[in-house]
Amino acid sequence: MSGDDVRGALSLLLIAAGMLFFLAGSVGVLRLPDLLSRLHALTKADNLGLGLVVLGLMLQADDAFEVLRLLLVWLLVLFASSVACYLVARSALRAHGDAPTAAPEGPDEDTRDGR
Amino acid sequence: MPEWMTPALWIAAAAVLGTIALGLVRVERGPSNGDRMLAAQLLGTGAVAVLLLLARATDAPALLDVALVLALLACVAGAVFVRRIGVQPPERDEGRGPTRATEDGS
Amino acid sequence: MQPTQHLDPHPGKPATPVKTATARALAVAALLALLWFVLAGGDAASWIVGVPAVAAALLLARRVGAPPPAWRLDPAGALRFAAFFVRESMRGGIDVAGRVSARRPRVAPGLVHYRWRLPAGSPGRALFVLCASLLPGTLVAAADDHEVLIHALDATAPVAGELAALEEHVAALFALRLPAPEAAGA
Repeated sequence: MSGDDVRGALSLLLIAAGMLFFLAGSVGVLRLPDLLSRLHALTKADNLGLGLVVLGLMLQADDAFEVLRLLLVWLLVLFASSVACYLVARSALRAHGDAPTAAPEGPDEDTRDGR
Repeated sequence: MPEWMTPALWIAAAAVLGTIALGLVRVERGPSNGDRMLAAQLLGTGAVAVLLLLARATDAPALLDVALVLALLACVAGAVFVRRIGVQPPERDEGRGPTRATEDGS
Repeated sequence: MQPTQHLDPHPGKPATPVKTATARALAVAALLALLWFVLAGGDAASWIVGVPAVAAALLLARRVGAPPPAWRLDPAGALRFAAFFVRESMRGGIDVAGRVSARRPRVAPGLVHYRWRLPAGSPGRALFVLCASLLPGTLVAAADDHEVLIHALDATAPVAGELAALEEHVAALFALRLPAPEAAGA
């Protein structure tokens, strides 16, 4: 068994693990009882799933640039889904009417306190 | 990489696609438009994974850039949704059609 | 307009902002250029697009809001933060995967108030909000100047401790010193 085979197997193992988390994310989105809980499953499971897939693919990368780009893709997806998740969560909380004192009313001011 | 890698990557991509399809059941069920939006976000993250796997399987690095753009658009979609429509209380049964921004979210 | 802040981010140093606005803009430009360099895979011809893209990003950033107050990164803190981030991402993913695949999903959702210790106006607060949704079982649902409202997947779990740990790592990353932890509001 050559080194390439070992590396390939390890890579595939990571990718397979990532798929499990994607599955968990989808299952969570289907099974959990309310919108905010489903958001948990979505962000955490899918982001870890993508992270593992990225890690697996890094093992097969041709050069350092590809490794960095893969890392960048993961970080940008993390950032994007985290922002989207926060926005949807905040909006959901308001829709339920039990908006806490912590949530200012105007959509204009409070987009900036998150920063 | 060993030659069994390419088919393995295709299978992995198909499997991730399958889990996304599973998540899309949530789009159908709702009940609120927020749940549907969430399923769309799921599609975004999953599709990035599919594209990354295909980029390697077909040796087309340009797909990496497609994945990047998709990730950013998914975020923009979420932001625009919240800004223009916002999560509405769950629709009554049979609120199947696309939700329109008839009322302001806030 | 005025980047000074009532809270001194660097104890031991004078409270005056170390960098001028132009110097900070240049630093951001360098960072964006580095990003482009990686994205384009080091292709020299790509700068035809890259330079205008960086310039556009800078202009856009200026238009979107007032510049954040002066801040700096602590390299050692950044490393520790990265390790913490990876570890917590894994814990968070495994935790939620376990909860949803139980025969009956093990969740007890609830809202938890958490009082900020990171100083107002610090970029650390934004980072905290982004990262809190990766900690096991927490999600930021709202934030204002005084506190964050956390949605916990399991409100019976000790969420406040996890959040405090995250806050400390974020503070270390930005070389900030946090006030001593008081009994975290639950």
